[in-house]
Amino acid sequence: MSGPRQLTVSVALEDVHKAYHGRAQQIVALESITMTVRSGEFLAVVGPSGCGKSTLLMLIAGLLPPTRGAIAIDGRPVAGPYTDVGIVFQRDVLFEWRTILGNVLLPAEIKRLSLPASRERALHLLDEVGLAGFEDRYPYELSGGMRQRVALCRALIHDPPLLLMDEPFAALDAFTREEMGAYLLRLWHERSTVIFVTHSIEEAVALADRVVVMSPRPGRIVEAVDVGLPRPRGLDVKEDRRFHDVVHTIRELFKARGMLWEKTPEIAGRGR
Amino acid sequence: MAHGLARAARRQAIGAAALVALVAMWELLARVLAIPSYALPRPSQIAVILLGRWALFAKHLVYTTQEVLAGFLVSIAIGVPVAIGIVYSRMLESVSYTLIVAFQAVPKTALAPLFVLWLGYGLLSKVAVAFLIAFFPIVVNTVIGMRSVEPEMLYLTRSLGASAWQIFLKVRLPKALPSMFGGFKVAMALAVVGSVVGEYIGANAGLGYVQLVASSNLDTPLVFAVIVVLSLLGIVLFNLVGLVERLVIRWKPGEAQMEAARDTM
Repeated sequence: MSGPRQLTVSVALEDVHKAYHGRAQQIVALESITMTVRSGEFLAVVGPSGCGKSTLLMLIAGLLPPTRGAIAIDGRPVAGPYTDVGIVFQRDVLFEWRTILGNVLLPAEIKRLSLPASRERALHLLDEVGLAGFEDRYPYELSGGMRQRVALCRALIHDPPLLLMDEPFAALDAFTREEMGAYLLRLWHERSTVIFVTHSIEEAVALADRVVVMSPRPGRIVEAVDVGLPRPRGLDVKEDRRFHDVVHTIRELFKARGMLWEKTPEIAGRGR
Repeated sequence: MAHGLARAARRQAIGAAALVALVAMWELLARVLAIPSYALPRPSQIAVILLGRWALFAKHLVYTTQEVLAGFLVSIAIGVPVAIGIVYSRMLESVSYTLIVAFQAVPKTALAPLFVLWLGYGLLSKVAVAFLIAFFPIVVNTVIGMRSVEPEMLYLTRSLGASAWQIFLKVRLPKALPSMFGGFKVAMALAVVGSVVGEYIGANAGLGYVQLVASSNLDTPLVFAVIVVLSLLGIVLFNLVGLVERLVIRWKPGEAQMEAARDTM
């Protein structure tokens, strides 16, 4: 599975702002975001709901223009959709009228890649995530976790140098979620730059090289924390002492901003 | 799945038995109470007419079916492009959607006399009425279907550099198909109504025409026989659309599977 071209890209954001026009006033989703994602890096972005994490991905993908500031991928400014990308959303967004194989092949069709080669790669990817034999099924026949694995294969079929993931496992149960992390790490192979948005600190630390911590609206970068756990990683990374240290560090960052508490006394008091 | 199929078959059998029982009761009551046939003919009398005058029914059935199908197909040929225009053009949306919704309020059958006046007693005036009445559900359901696309689907395809044409063909159209077929089914049923109403206003052929003549002759059994033929026509045409739907939309669980799912609930 070796690609002939450059595998990864770097992403640079320079003083990026994004504001929406709300009903009454302007809503500032992102404020003064400056960060660099190194080529081949697995970056996780953690923050509370409504901190503009999803907006950040839309801006990087070129699907939304920033209100101010500049975004560049491998030094080239992003203007309009950046098409060499794989995206995974929280919802699997499988096309219900396409078979599993048809769904995985969608990017190849749109980008007019060689279909026989793409087909072979699609079957290989499906096999890697334990879905061999499901290629002719329709999405309604699959469970939520299986569908999200198909979405993952679809995002990787064209071997994109950049992978954008918007809370991809948030809709899954805890067990399936762990499993999906393992599948992702297996498929990723450090073959693309990943920006992974999540609200789970543990998930971010288990998967990423670096975790960017964001504040609630307007979204700002509070800090970037290096994870420094060795690769390749498996699920057992969560038993590593260093894993807990990093999770603790990030928790403290949130707590210092009044975003996380050890206990929620008012609710505890109301219980029995 | 086999279980679900069996259950669906059983359900249909129960429905058929109920229908047979109802007809038998009608026959019995009409005989016992000696209801005159000009008021309420017995089912057996209607059956005799249906069988005895089948050539008459066949001729006018063909005529009416032509009107219905022509009206239905024209309403698809015009309704679907209009819906696409509404989805893609804000200008067209504000102009035509408002007009269409306003026009929805006009009882279409009330326009039938006008069409007969303008287009004569022939086929064309009935096709026009059938078209007019079938047009709206097609437009409305196609617009709703094409708008039901999740924003992520559009983000995904746009992020891959898909053209507007690719997005239409690979996203909007297939996404809209189930809703469109829902509209087609309603449209087909309404096209039958439109054709028959057109025939009532002014015609020299067709099942509505036969019924009107029978009614003025106080030939009630013939009136009922036409009702039976029209009902059968409606059922056949409706199921024809359903058949095409099942051939086109294969990505949904079939009825048998739905039954099976209901079993487990």
